Amino acid sequence: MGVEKTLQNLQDGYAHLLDLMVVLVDEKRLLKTKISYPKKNCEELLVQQMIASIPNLTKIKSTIYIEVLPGLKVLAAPIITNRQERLYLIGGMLVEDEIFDALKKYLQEHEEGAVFLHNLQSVKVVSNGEKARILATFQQLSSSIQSLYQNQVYVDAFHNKILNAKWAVENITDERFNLDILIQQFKNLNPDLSFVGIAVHKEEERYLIQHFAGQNMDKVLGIEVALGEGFLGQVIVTEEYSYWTHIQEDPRLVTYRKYGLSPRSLFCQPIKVGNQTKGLLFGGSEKEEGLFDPVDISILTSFIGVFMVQQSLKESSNHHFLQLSTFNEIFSVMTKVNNVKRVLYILIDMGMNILSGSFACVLFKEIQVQNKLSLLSRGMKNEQLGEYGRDLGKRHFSNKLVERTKGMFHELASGELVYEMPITFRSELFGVLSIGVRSKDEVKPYIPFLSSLGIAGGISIYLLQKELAQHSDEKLVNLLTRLLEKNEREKYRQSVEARKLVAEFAKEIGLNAQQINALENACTLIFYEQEILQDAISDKETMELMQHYYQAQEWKKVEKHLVKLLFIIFERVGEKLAQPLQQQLQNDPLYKTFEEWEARNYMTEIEIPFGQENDMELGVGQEEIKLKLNLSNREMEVLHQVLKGLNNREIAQSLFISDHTVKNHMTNILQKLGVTDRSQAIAKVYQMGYTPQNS
Amino acid sequence: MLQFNPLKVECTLFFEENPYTLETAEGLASRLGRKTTELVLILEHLVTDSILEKIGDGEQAIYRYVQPDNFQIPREFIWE
Repeated sequence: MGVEKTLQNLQDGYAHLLDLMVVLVDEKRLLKTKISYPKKNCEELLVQQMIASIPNLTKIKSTIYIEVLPGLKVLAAPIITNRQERLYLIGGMLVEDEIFDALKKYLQEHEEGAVFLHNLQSVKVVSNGEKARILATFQQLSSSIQSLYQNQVYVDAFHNKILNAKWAVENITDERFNLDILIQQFKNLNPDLSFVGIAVHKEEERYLIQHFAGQNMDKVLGIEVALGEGFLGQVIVTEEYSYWTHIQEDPRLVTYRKYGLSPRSLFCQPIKVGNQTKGLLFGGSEKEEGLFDPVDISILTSFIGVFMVQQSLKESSNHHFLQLSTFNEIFSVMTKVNNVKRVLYILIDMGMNILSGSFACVLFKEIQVQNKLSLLSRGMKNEQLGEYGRDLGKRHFSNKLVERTKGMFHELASGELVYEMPITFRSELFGVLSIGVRSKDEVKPYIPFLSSLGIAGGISIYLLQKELAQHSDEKLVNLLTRLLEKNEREKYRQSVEARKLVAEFAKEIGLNAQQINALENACTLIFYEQEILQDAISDKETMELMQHYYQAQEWKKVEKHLVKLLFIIFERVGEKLAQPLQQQLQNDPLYKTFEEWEARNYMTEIEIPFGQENDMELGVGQEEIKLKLNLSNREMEVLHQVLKGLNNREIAQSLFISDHTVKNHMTNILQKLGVTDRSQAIAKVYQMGYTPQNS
Repeated sequence: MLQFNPLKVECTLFFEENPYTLETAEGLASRLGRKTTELVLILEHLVTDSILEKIGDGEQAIYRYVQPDNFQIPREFIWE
């Protein structure tokens, strides 16, 4: 937009200065600017006639005077805008003063002169000297217009480059965008180029042509560029932009001709990312001296570098995502399997899968067998196993070893390389995973993944061991409870009641499942001496709780929160505490919390149904128990006596019925309770929350 | 180059989770929701790695999981 206005102003100014009509026309003599008129009026028809009369317009190569009719002159100057368009600046008309009369006579005598004769006042009459000055000034005008157009060409080209760069940047994140599209676009913008290509760095010093725009693409793709050889190989070494002209006789061109390429000029620019040459951008022209713009080429290679980095980051991100989702799957299966060996199988198989190892093994501590290590292996020769297993054990299970979480490479006696990854969790070493590998470089990208796998294995084994310990403790506690039931009825009652209170109150104050489990175990274990329980408990939480309990008994002072709770509950179920302990606990906020909770709980239990006074003497909650178990009144009375600890004969005496009848009632009661003996019946009734009243 | 093949991992994990499975390639493909053609190559790899055992040949060949060998080392050897 700007250039047309400037051009018109310039043309108007000069027309005024020269006192001549000035206009710009194209090769077909069509007007490209508005006609700039001099001071005198001039008819447009005359101007068009003048332009039409210029002989051989397109052959004018410089600023000259040209006669439209004998003696009648116009100025003409060629203006080169770009390769496709050529314009002509026309100025006129003039006549030399000495031939003015002769011209007038000619116009009068010739028909084609009629228009000019009619407008003769528009023809400028000049002297020879004036004529020369006008030519020089007109020359200045044509040069200025030429410059304007050249600037415009430059601005247009720059604008195109910007648009092209914008297009490339906007498309870099588009899935469909690739380097083939980019170099094709570059080739289209540079018609001089007959081909453009990119050789991509592979490994070590190999570069392969992977992108190509031009003829014979199928033949060219995949060609290897040898370091230091040929035009391109030289650029890998020098790492600098190079171009060659007049190369048609160059012996290095023989290889190019083999693939159907015959450039006469060539360029090559290394694609650098940081200090590394990631590829080569090259192009050739059939012209002797191709118009390669080093700045454009440099910008393009920078962009290719950015694209390569972006692609590599994308690949890396995909790779990490793949690792993460695979790890997720592996860990998920590890947590589903229910024995340690199966966790170890997963570790072995995944190790082989991920590193494509030819063999893998795991050395691990047997959980239930002391002083024994086992080796699980896949693909390893038997004769190697024993020796390697002992060596692995010495290196990883000796107490001297400090760093146990990091993996390490190790060379076997046979010369094979293995990667050894400890299986750990919370600084405990459960085993070592060893995978046969080909080279250290192959393993390095997977070390973080293997490390996570080792920890995941450690966590899974830790959880399985914990579960196992809890199960074995559960068996032990059940056995000890049954012993109490047989031999220590009062203690058994206390244990059952305490367990019930612990379960309810612990939830109320937000203790976790492990703490509740430990407290419930302790409800039985506290009736046994420390020496008996030593080494018999596996669960850490229970073990710690019991240790603190025995300590508090000895020191008559309690510190741990859970132990305080244990004492408070046992005091509540009838256990006598030492005076200092009792005093300490009564001043503890936990004691108050427990009392408040118990009071709330108690209040709900003493709800008395209105109008059923007789039930009161049978005890609180008796009606609910009776309804729940579908007991008759007599069975309820018998149960009540059982709960007081009376045997069948004593019950018969107290209720004035025969032993046989009591037995019958007992059979019914046991059946309705779903238990097999008296003690189970007592426990069940207590568990249901029923406390008999003394009567 | 390393071969981190997600399908190989998925297939191995299937057998880890179901160690007593005896199945044809077609049956496994159906269980994993994959194409038999892409699974056959993976199964062959796993047989080469001794992770699976192949019983029989052709389309009716059955694959099963092979547990790693167990070798016990008395710990005294290590502390000696």
